[in-house]
Amino acid sequence: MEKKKRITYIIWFAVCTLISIIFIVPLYYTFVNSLRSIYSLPTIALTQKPEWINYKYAVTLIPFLRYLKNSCIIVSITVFFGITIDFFYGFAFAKLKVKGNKFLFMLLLSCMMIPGFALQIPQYIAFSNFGIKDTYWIWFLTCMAGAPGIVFLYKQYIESIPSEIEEAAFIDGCGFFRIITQIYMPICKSILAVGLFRVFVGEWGNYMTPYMFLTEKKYPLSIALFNASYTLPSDPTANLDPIKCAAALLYAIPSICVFFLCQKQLVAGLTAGSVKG
Amino acid sequence: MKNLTKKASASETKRVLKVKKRGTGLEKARYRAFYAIMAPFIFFFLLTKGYPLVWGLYISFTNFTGFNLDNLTFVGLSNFKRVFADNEAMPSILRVIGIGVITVPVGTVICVTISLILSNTFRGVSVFRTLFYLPSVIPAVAIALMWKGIYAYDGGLFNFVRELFGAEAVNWLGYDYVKRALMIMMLWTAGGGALTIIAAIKGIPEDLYEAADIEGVGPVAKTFKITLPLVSNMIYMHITTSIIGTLQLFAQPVLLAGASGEGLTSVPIRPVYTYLVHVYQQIFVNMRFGYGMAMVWVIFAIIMTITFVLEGTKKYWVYTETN
Repeated sequence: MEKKKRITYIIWFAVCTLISIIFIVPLYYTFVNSLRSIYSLPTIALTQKPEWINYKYAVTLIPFLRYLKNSCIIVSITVFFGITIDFFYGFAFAKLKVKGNKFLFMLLLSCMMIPGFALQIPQYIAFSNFGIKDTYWIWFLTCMAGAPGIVFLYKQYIESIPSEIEEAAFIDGCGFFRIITQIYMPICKSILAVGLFRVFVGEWGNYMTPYMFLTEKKYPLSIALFNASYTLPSDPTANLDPIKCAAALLYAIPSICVFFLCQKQLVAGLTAGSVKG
Repeated sequence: MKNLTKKASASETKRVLKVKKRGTGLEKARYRAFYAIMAPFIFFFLLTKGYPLVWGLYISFTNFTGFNLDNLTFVGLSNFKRVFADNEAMPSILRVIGIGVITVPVGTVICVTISLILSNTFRGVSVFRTLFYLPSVIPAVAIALMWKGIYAYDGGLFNFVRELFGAEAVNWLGYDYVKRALMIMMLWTAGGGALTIIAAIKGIPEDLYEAADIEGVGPVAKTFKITLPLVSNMIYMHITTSIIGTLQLFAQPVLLAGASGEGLTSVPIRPVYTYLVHVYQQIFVNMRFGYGMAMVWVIFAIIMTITFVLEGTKKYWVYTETN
């Protein structure tokens, strides 16, 4: 029995290693090639003299830091609202079952069915009419309307918490604002982490909205990197693929970091969310 | 002593009464709190979703081209008729369906297989879970930049492997191979859905497997008769969202096969010229807003139809708990 167990373990481990190689190779390949000299051909092994200067070029040849700053502004707005206002909405839908709750919730859900395009294009026209094109106000407005997926996530989780807590707090003279911020938010830390992760990764990678509404000066990294044409001042015709690889990796790092930070909560939160499916 | 109990019970009644009074107060407070929280929701919802949607529906019946707001002409259904007459629109939908017919089943099989493997407990399983999920965390633009390098003609990874096996190098982003290249890139992120399915598998009560063990059921039968039926709802969700996602395929082809430097308006080559790319071209290059919006509603109708058809097939293969 013991022997059989060990054999199955070895098989699982081998299969997993094999599959993870497939998943890791593109990342590895990009990393290795971000360190090769721009005048050499692509390699599959780390070059002997890694050219870390490629990373410096990736940041200095285009206004990388400006794009990074723009990305940070946009992501902070969405993340802030994603873990505050969306949580309030989720709480209201989950715990304040009064007349009108069901109707408004259906309204929110129906938004999840509509393809992003059907909304974004008329939004483009509408926001131009409001005169807020090329400002970050757009993110404020759309975030205040709540991200349907995130609100839904919070609602599912909050519903599983017994209402006695909030009733007891109310009897003790605690208002709903404090009930939400001081009782429910600490309880829901793990699902808030999931929400934060989803909002962060979604917005960090979002190129559609910025491209539609902003101009070059206000571009975040996502669309800027796609548009960027790296040229070396000393040699304009050089093929700068290694520098592009370096830029892509630099751009992906924050997402990966947030993923690792929230990883534990991610699994816990998903399990809790899936109970009700 | 008697007096004391009396006093106590009196205060008790008083407290109960107070609570009862507060109880109705709680209802009232709930009502007030709900609408206080929902007021900004309703306002911003109407502003950023309701109003644009109605507006978008309206302009799909007009000849709006971005500048003629003052003299809009109502053109009835002609925009919608044009979608079916356009010699790019229908072929591009078929093209997207052609991609989806492969990526959705293959992606689902990959995702479910990964979930089945990773729902076992063995040493190192959490590391593998992280590794499999990692690609779906990386932003689409970074993925496209990475894969462009991998598909490079001179010394790119794919051509390197081909040459290793004695085959000739091919142009992966050229006419003949770009579709395959796109699908491989899309499948790379297929592990993203696994986390939800793993969570669902972990939620299956252990006693079902114990009962199966007593009956002498083998591991394969356990997988197909217990695990898969019990997570079929999650698999169904995964398939639905993948189909919807694939029909709306837009960024990946543009990022992978479009000319860089032109942003999202660059046109990818024919084999990966998808329906939404065509929509984008109509609106942001040709400024045909009315027509473009009509095209969006057509794909929305197609998505809804597919969702309903899938919902109808649910009763044949999706297990739902009945109370």
